[in-house]
Amino acid sequence: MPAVVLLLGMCVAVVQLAAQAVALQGAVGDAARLAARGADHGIVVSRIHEVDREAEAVVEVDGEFACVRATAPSRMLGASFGRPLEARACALDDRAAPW
Amino acid sequence: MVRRGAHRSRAPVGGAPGAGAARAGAPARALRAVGGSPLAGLPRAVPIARPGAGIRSRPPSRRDGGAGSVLVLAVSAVVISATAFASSLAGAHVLLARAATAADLAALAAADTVSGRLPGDACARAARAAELQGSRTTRCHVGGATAEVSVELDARAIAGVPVVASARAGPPGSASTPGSAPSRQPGVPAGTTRAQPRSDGPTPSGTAGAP
Repeated sequence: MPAVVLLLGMCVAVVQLAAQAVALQGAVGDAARLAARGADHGIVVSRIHEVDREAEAVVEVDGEFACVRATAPSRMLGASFGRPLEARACALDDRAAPW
Repeated sequence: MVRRGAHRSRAPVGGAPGAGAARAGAPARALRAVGGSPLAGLPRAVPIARPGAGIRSRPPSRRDGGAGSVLVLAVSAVVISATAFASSLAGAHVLLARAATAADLAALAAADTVSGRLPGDACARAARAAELQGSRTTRCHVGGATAEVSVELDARAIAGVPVVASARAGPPGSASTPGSAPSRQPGVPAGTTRAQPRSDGPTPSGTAGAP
């Protein structure tokens, strides 16, 4: 029985982790778009922090693209451990657009 | 004689001491007909307690031994399978999210170009945007001010299933498919303001899935 409970806990933890990864990926996509459109760094980071307050975000420029890389601690069943989650997204930097 | 369907005993069951077994020199183990089953009415041998012998519990059969272990193994197998299935689904969902983001941003890059905001090749920009996000474009179609891009993630889902996503981007109100004229509002150029993503400029709309 303890093994069954442990496996069920793992199942819940995996689903939680996946949900966190999906949310982080969505936030990074939005943040990249914000950065590409010239938003302040604080606004970009705050979009990431909506998902996880402890997440770290870095804005990079790769050619004509603005990229945002975010890392957040893996949270499973309320505890953070293991390899941190990482997400990256790049959007076309259109700040040079005339309009 | 025992007739079909009759539940007549040839000797009392459980025999009170001296009641049946002792009658007319009956053998110690008598027979009776048993009903209530598909074989009802057919005579079956049922042992009757010997007078004074009391009721003895049947010794545990070897076939019952380890039934609990089998049950635990079965439950464990079900739970392990469910965990593996949930893990696979969760991993696929994460990959789908990545593919959807890549398709969105690739389509936006293409739409920014095709709308004339930035010079260059729209599909080349879409391909570069997809590449930066660990994917490649499998389809790029531009028409009017709208771009439609499909991407396939470099990473594969479980069992080698490719992860693909599609997105379409264009000025607000241009819900037309690429190739047809975009339905732009008169006097309102596309992407004229810079505010929240997906609320102005090229607007992505996409689908993601694993074929």
